[in-house]
Amino acid sequence: MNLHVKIDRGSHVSEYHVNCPKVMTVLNVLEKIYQEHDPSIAYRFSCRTGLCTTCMMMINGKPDLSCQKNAEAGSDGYLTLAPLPKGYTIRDLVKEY
Amino acid sequence: MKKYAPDTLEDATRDKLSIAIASETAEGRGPIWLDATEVIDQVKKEFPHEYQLCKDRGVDLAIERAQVGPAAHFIMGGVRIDQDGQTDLDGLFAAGEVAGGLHGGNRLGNNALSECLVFGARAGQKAAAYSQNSNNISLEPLHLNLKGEHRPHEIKSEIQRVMSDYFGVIRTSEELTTALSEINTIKHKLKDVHISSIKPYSREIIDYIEATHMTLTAEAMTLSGIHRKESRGAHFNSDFLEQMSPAHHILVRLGNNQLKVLHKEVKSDESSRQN
Repeated sequence: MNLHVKIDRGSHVSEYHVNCPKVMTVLNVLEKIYQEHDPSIAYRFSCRTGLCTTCMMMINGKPDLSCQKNAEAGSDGYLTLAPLPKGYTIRDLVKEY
Repeated sequence: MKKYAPDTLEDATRDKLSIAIASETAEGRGPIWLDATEVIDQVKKEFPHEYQLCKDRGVDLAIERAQVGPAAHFIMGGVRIDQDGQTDLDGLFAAGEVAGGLHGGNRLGNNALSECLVFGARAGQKAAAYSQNSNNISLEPLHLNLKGEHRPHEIKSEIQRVMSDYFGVIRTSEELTTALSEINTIKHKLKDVHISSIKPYSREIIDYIEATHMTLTAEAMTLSGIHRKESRGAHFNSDFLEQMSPAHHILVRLGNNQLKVLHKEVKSDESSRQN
């Protein structure tokens, strides 16, 4: 399955076409983008088990944990990722705590 | 579990449970299944997060079994501290999983949280008092050749593979030696890394720093494992099944880019530190 991903990076939006051979979490898709498409993408995670909330971001317009949420396209055909709206964004999906 | 822990069965400590699962799998009797259907009300009450996690992944423990296997979960070793979290380096404090020795050879469930609460508070209080009478310490900037060959996340994967293959639940002396040799090869790759982005929160820089720490930690763990010629708690070497007496700590110290190993007998009162 090919997943079309849009990432809001503040000054611009990056688009990626990611090959997902199986069901993946949003964090796994971000890892794939970092490793195979764009090493400059900035995001944070820690526990990977849904406890620490370090990886929280906007996923298709709603706040959710990227390590728990399965990666799926929204109604516009894109998986859309953005930093949480409140507070200062350091870079890409990384918020200041 | 009758074969491995006849008195406690599945309530055995996690080191024994992990060794049992790994042994059955290694001897061709896997996969191993967890059947929680008879105690599902207790599971839902005491482990709601885990129950829901399985359900979200398509396994309802109320009506079906889950395939299970041991995984690296906690490191019992770590930086040596005193009762206030002070390390051997002046001004450096450590608390929690990064510190070693509190749990002996095997941590019992839930003790990590109480360790964090007690030693986090003690280390925090001591560090705050220390900072009143000390100047800021400046760190050396990181000098890297960015145009090398190896990507840091690939180096991390290699360390994970080596430690999974040769430093797993059941270990042999030959595997430990192989692990050390492969870690030495990985160390050289760390001097030849490729980093394309040095912007703030660059994952490549974070991965490089983590890979450096993982390599050093893996080397210290493997060296300690080679020197521990016994099985104790989570360290299970099938070439040395018995426990040695008296019990001893294995200390690893870095100096002049070399790791030096020291043995120290475990005493009930360790308030004085001689090494």
